[in-house]
Amino acid sequence: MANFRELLSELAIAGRIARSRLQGQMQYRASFVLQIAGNFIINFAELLALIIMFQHFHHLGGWNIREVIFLYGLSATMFGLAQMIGSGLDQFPAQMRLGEFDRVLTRPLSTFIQASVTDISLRYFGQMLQGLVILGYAVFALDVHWTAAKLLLLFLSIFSGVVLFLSLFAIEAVLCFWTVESTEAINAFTYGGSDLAQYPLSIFDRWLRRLFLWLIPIGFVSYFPAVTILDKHDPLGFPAWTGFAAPLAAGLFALATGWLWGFGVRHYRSTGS
Amino acid sequence: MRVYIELARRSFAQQFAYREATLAGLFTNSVFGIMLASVFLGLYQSRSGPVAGWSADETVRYVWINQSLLMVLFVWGWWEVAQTIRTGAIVTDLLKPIDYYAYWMARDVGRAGAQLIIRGMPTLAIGWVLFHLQFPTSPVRWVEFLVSIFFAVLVSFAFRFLINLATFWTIDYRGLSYASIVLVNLFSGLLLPLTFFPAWLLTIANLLPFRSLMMLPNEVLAGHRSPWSAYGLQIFWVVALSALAQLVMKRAEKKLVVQGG
Repeated sequence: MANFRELLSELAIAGRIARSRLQGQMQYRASFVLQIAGNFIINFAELLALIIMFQHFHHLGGWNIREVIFLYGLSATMFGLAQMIGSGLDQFPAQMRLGEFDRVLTRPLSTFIQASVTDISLRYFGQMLQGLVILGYAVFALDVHWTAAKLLLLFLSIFSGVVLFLSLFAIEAVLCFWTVESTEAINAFTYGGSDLAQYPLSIFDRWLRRLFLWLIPIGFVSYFPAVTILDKHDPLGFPAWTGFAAPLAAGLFALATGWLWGFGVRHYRSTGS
Repeated sequence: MRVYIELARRSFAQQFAYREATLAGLFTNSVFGIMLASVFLGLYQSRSGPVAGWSADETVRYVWINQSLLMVLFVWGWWEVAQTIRTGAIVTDLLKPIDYYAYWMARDVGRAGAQLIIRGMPTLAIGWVLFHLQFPTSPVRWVEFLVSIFFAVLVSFAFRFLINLATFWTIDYRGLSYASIVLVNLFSGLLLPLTFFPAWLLTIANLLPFRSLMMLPNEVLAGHRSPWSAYGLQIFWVVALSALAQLVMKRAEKKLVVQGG
C-alpha cells in the first residue's frame, strides 16, 4: 500500500512537470499549431493511401476497408498516446552523452518518470486525436454490436497498447547505456509495430507473426481484441478470449522492460564531463 | 571543380564509419519491406490481374526498391543547413571561397553514393532472397535506373536545401518538417505507386516535384516509362528548385541577422 501511495505521489509530480512543459510549448503558438496540424495530417496521408488501395482491392485477408480502418484507428490512438507521454525518452541518448543523467539520479523521483516527462510533446496530441477520430468513424460505419465486455476490451486494448509502446520507447532509450548507434533497429518495432498493427496479423508470414506475438506482443494488444470486437473469424486458431489477454501480454512486457531499465541504470557510468 | 569532387569523396567515405548503425538500419528496412510486401501480396489475392499496369510481382519489387532508396534519397529529417542557420555557423560557411549551394550538393551526392552501396544494395538483395524478386536482365535497363536515381538524389537535395532555408524566417522548423513529410510520403510514390491514385489526385501528383524521387526511377526499372522522359522531368525539377533556392538565398543573405557572438 505504501508503494502504491508512493507511485501516486510520483505520478502527481510527473503531471506537474508535464504541465509546465506544455505551458512552455504554448509560448510558440504558430509553431505549436503547425506541429499538431502536421501530425494530424501525416497520418491522414497514410489513411488516404489505404483508402486508395481499397479502390482496387476488395479485402485484405478477409477484412474489408472499414474493418482495416478500425485497426488503423486503434493503432494510431495507442501509438499517438504513447508517443505523447513518452516523447522525452527520445532525448535520453543526448542527456546521457552530456552527462545530464547524473542530475536525474540525484533526484528523489523515479528515473523512468523523469526521463519520460522531460518533454511531453503536444504535437503527438494531433496524432492521437486523429486516431480517435478514425476509430470513432470506423465504429460508427461498422455498426458494431456493443456489449459491456466489448467496450471493456476496447479500453483494455488501448491501455495495453500504450503500455507496450511506452515499454518499447524505454527499451530504445535504455539501449544507449550500451550502444548509441544501433538504436535505429528499435524503429522496426515501434514505428514498424504500429504499422503492423494496422493490418490483420493473419496476412503475415509465420516468423513475422511469431516475432510480433511472442517477442513483442503487438498482435495481442491490437489484432486479437479487434477480432473479438468486430466478430471476425481468426484463421490463426486462437481461442476467443485471447483478446482479453492484452493486459497480461503488455504487463509482462512492461515488467521485463522495467527490469532492463533498472539493470541499465545500475550499470550506468557517467561520461564525467 | 576539383574541390567539389573532393568534398563528395570525403562525405562518401564518412558514411562507412557507422557500421553498427548501418546494420541496424538494414534490419529496420527489411522488417518494413517484408511487412509492406506482405500487405500488397494479401491485397492482390482479393482480385485477379494487375492494378494500373502493376502486377503483384512488380508491386512487391516496388516496395523493396522504395525501402532501398529511403536512405539514398534521405527524404526525411535532413536539417544540416537549418542547424547552421540556427547556430550562426552559416556566416563562416558563406565566407568560404566556394559556392555554398554546390558545397552542400557535392556532399549530398557523396553521401547518397555511399548509402546506395551500404543500405540500398543490401536491402534490395534481402528482398530478392526473401521474396524472389524478378529483375530485368538487360544491363542497359540497370544503367538507366541508376541514372534516374542520380537525378532523384539531385531533386531530393534541391528540395531539402530549399526547405532548410525557411529557417532564415522561422527558427522552429518542426512544423515545416511535418508538412514536407506529408508531401513526400504521399506524392513521391513512397506509400504506393502513383498510378493507383484516382485521376484528380494523380493530376496533382504529376504537377509536383516529388514523383521524381521514388516513382520515376521505379517506372524506369519496370519499363513503364522511357528513361528520357524520366530524366527530362527530373532535370526540369533540379533546375527549377535550384534556381528557386538561389533566389531565396539572395533574399536571405540580405536580411541575415546572426544571434549571439
